[in-house]
Amino acid sequence: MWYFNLHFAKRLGPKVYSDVVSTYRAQMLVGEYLFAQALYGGEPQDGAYLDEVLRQSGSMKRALELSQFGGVSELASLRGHVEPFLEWCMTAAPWAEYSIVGFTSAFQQQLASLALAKRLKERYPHLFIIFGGANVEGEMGLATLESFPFVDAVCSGEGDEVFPPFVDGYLSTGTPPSLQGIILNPGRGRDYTELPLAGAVPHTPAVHDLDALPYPDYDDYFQQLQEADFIPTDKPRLLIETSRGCWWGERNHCVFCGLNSMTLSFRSKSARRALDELLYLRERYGRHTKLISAVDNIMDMKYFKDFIPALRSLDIDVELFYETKANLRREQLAAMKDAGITLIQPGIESLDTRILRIMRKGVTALQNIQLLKWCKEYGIWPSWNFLFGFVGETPEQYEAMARLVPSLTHLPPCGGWGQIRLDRFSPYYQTADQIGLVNVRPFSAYKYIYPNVPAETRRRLAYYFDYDYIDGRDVAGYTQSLRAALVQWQEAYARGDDLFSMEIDGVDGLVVCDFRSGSRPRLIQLSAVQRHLYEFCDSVRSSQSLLARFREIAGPAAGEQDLNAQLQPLLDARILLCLDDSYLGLAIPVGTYVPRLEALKRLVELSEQGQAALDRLAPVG
Amino acid sequence: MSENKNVQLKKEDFTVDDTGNLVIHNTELAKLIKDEKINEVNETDAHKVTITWG
Repeated sequence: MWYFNLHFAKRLGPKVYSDVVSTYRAQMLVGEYLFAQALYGGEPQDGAYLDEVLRQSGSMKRALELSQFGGVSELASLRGHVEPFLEWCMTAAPWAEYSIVGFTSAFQQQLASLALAKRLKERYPHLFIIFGGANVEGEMGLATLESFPFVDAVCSGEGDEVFPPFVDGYLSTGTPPSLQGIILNPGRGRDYTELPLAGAVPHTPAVHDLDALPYPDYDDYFQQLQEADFIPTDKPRLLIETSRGCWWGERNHCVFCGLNSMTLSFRSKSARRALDELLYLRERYGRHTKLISAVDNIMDMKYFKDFIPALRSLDIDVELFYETKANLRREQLAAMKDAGITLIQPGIESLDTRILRIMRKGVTALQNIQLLKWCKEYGIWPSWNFLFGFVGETPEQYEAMARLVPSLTHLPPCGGWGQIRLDRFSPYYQTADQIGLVNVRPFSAYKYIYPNVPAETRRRLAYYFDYDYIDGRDVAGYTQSLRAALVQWQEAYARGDDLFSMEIDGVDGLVVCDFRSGSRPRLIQLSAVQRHLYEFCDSVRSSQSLLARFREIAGPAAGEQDLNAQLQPLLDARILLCLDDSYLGLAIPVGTYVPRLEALKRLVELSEQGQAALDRLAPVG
Repeated sequence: MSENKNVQLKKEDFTVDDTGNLVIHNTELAKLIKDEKINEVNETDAHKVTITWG
């Protein structure tokens, strides 16, 4: 296994490489564009390329300005590394000794792979070159074969069960065996198979027994990382795969999600196997890192019964990342934290229930906020983004979310936001014309990445698409207030905003300490009744269940008006939230949670200055 | 300060004085907080104190 990307990263420098891979430069597909000249020859089209991609998005243009993007001169500088890098690749491996070279290509690895493949084929015509990975799934794979004759075959779909017999067959007979999902290039002049029609791409069979797969082998990676003498911006992470597909998507495919292509069906490893694999990785590679990221699209919920308790009982020093659904229960998050799962990606996406319903996320806004609160309580970092631009959403919903944000600044903010992109294989892409998305077209950068092909072929090669709304909606305009609020949220959280509740000796009820930027520092005293109600609202409660709880406390004659009189001061103080006729307390109880240092400092200072008086929240009416 | 020191905060560490103002009795901890000698979440600086709240 060769990890040539490490050497290209070293040439660019870790910061620049990281920018190309994961910032706005990634949305411009800079990593692909840089290799276009190496693949096609001719003169770079940097000016035209930049004009085109920046015209695509005003927000991208501003983001690039903020990140001090160097424009044409930066592109030229980066491209200066490409030819020396490719030449180095040509000498780094004993290519002449090989029979088959396989490229696994995802994200912005396609043109670099094609540029190297082309050179290899020219210099070593005996090589059989095969591409696999997300960039050649389905139509993209067929279009790759059509457009790049030096690619002998693509593997469309999961290669685990077909690639080894393919290699064995080829090496033993000198002829590529016919296996489902491995599509040979008819351009090779040999009658192995007919190119299937678009839309009828034969996929490899999905792997059903994930336990039967071998353990991953990262020996080459860590050896080459050491040899490259390259220090990445982020610590290395061991990747573990405990499932494939998406159990939620099988039932309700989130409209923007283009992951999984044709293998959405959910399959997972047994707890025993997942644990053995994790322990193996930790034993073999733990000296390099204790960070382990599950590449799963979604955690298997049955792991809460076996894998997580088993991991917890081992008490090993790892930091695990998992993607999850957002409607986790408190005890599930507690178990995850105890098991070492300290980073999650819960797919929050929005804080409006109606928009979440359009997305088919299967959660409410309050459930999302509840998750953020519990994550903070247990010391789990939730990585999430805000998505805009769903058909059917309204400007009023975004104004309401902008007004909501100042109440949430003590909770982990989103890392970023943006208008949804159309990804191949997503429900929105597949039904664009039915839902009011028109003029669907490949990202403009593809014109410069695949310049010499007909427009229809370019469409088949592309994964990312732009579109217009048939109703002409102005997403940038109606999300402006929210985007400004999200910036303030990130800044406030970084300053140490906090909101927590605690008991104080000799004081009835509960004290909520409010150190959010949108409020003056304030200690709020809840009565005994309010405390009962507030603690009941630690999780999302419907107004019906809250009234039932209130009657248990105040007697069966208590009515809605009495309840509202208790709740209104809490709502006015923005320590209780009501959305969709349900309630959620926003303060985090101390205990498992220890307030952040900045908040503790403010508490001490207020106390010493004699300004820590308790505000009683008397019932209204 | 000894390394890896843990301090447990309790509700008894807080009261309200005659003027209704919150008072923190644990003055040693209050000083550590002001001097930023407290470990944040998931931080394990041996030269800082880790607070637990019980």
